[in-house]
Amino acid sequence: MIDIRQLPNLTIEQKDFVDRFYDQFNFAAAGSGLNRHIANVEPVLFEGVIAASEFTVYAATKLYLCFDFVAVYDGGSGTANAYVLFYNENNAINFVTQNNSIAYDSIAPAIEYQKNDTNIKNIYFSRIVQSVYNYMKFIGYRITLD
Amino acid sequence: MTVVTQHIANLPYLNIEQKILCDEFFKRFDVGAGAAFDVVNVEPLFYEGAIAGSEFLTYDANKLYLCFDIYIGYSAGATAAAARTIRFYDENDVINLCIQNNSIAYESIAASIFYNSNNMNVKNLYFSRFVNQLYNYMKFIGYRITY
Repeated sequence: MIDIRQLPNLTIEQKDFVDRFYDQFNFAAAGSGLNRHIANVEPVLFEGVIAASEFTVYAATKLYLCFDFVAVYDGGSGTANAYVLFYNENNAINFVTQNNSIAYDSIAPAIEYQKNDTNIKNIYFSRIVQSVYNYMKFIGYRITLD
Repeated sequence: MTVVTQHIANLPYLNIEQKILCDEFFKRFDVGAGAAFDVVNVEPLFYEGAIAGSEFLTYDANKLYLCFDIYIGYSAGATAAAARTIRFYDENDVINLCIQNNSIAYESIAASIFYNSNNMNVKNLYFSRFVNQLYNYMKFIGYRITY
């Protein structure tokens, strides 16, 4: 099984990130059922549709250790705000990312959001919930806990 | 093409994102001789220039780009045209990613949204081709993969 902490060429941010991740999720005995032991590590490269992807599904035994996440929208401006919510190991929101330019349409009247790419690096999460964004890229690892 | 593919995936200065990208790319597209995916050539590619007429716009079932860095630029101001998006396509010629980076303003006399097309950048991805809306220049650093 890959030990991400031992990989060469981690930046200092990634090294801190990975070390703390292991401190937090790899201290219990194997098979304890506490989900605080890393049972498997799988590299993941994903480019594609967010809807129905594995990243939208919560599992208490699954986390993503993410080095690079990009969410994008294929379309023009509209009145809906675009963002991505990240959830932690307890299925509670722990981060959000968005990158909108806005304009006020005085005839509608309403705020129009331009849903530009949003990018975040070095983050862990159990699942995401997206508003508006429809494609994503992920580079990192799928972590299975037991 | 084991020698070449191992060479890329084992380049000493790859960062961890690039390492995962390369490892997973070759795991997926270099299954072995006689398989549907067998990498037969890898060419380093650096490009700065016009998007129109460039090779990146053309789909070929035997060609992919393994991209470490792509920038898209536009050399004019805001207009009321629709949002400017670059759509990337996968090995099956299906959209798998897109990028856009527009600043917008509402023009009350024309009564429409105006888009200003800022530079767009994405790193560490693969694609077979992309479709361009409006942007006119680009920079690419990566590899052309033939399989």
